[in-house]
Amino acid sequence: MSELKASTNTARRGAQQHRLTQQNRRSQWRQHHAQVAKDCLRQLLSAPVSTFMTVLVLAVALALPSFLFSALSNVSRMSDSWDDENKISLYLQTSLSDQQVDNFVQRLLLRPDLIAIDLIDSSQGLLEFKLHSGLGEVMDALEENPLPAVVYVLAKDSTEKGLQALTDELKAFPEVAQAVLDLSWIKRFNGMLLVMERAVIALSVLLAFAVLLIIGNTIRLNVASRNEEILVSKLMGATNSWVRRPFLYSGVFYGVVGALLALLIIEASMLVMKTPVLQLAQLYNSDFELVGLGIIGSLVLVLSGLSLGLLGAMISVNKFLSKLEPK
Amino acid sequence: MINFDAVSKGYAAGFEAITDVSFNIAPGELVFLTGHSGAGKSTVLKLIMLMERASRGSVQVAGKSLADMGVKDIPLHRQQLGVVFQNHQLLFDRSVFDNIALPLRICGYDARDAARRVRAALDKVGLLTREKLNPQVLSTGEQQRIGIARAIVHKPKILLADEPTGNLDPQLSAEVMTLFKQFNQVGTTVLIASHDLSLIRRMNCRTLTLNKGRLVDDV
Repeated sequence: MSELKASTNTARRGAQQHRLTQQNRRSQWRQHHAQVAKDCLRQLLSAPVSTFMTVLVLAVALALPSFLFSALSNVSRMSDSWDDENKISLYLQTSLSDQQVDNFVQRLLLRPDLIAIDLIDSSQGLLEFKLHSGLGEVMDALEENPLPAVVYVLAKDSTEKGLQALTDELKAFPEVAQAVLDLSWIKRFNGMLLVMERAVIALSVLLAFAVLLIIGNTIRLNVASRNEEILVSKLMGATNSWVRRPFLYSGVFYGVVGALLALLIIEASMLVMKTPVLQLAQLYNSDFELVGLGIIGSLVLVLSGLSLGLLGAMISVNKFLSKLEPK
Repeated sequence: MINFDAVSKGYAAGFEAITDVSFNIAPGELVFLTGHSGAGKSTVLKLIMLMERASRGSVQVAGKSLADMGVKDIPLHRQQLGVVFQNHQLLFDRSVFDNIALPLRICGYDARDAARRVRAALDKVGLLTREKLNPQVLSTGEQQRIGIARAIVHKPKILLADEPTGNLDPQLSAEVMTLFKQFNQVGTTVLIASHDLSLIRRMNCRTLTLNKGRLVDDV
């Protein structure tokens, strides 16, 4: 009994109801958020292996669609440079003199069914070939330029039939060795790209669901293990948002850290692929360069991770909280 | 302060925990709620805490009808109550200090102010030296007193206790009762559910007696 203090005086002073001013409340709210974030981080780091495993699974699930999207955007960027769909390439006879080539181009210029004509004469072609192919010395060893002059023409008529007819007509000129219309190939390629894009979108939706389930399930286990704390807090008058807060922080942590790791994976694989792609592009005489997710893409990825984490955690906690309402 | 008007609480299987219970507890009263186990003591406390809602009749706490309270109003209602649980419900994943600070964190107290209040509450139950320990290592009596400190740390208007002396020896029980009396003396309304009749008789306070869910005595 002796250790119980009968300090009625102090108690009476303390019995005044606690009142919070608006400013007080806001600073308290900030304090609470900081405290919850710190607690949440400490808790996640107290089991580093399982936290890391979860984050890694999330990173893989997030990296896969992002990787496919950026691959797709690279490929479609590549095809953009050949999007003159009504272009016909005319390879001229190598035996023609420059004068004869000039005359031929003049004649083409008079035709009303062509919009543009671009001549790459044989010496210019040779120069470019030497520059990009790496076979400069071999070419130097040749006595004569083996390359033909090439004329690119853009047709006014963009229908498939009209283009085919024009190609046939141009092929009939004695100066033309070969006339090539790339139309069907480009069309098929663009069609394929569209199918692939849809497939990647479908896959992304599936993987977003996977991320939602992984985070939701992790948080559900987390909630179950802190079940007693939630019950006691609720009985002491904790609001649902107060109870939810630490779990939402965990969900956001998983989502954002998973997305950042995914970003790292993508950037690393881009780095690995950069040089071979550059070499390949050079072989095709193209200045194509691999482009990563970029700022917007990265932002979208991180925001997706954040919202999936928030949503997954929200669903899990709300399911638990709804069972605690009085009946 | 607490007003029951013809309150019944029935469950799905047709079982009624309490039937037609009416009483009124004025502000600053200390009242015992007694009866054999299963008489409905806990149900009365659960109705006051809004863990459950009455099937019939009306419950008023601090002038407000609980039936009118929606999900959003429950937290504020519970923040004005202090509850001592039968099995103390302490959290073993944190220190004594953090256990007692929990209601203050929920009510939104400043951290420094909260620390001061936690120490005052610990001092009150005579366990100031146990602040940093895990409640798991404390004796049952000490755990119960920590539970009491947690219930009163935010100076609630109403203190509810469900069998607070359930597993304590007579001397510890008497100490706990003295604590409740002290809180009552500073103006807190106290309602204690207990089946320890000899202790209640010694306290000489108003006693509500429940039998099979009906209020049979109010002296």
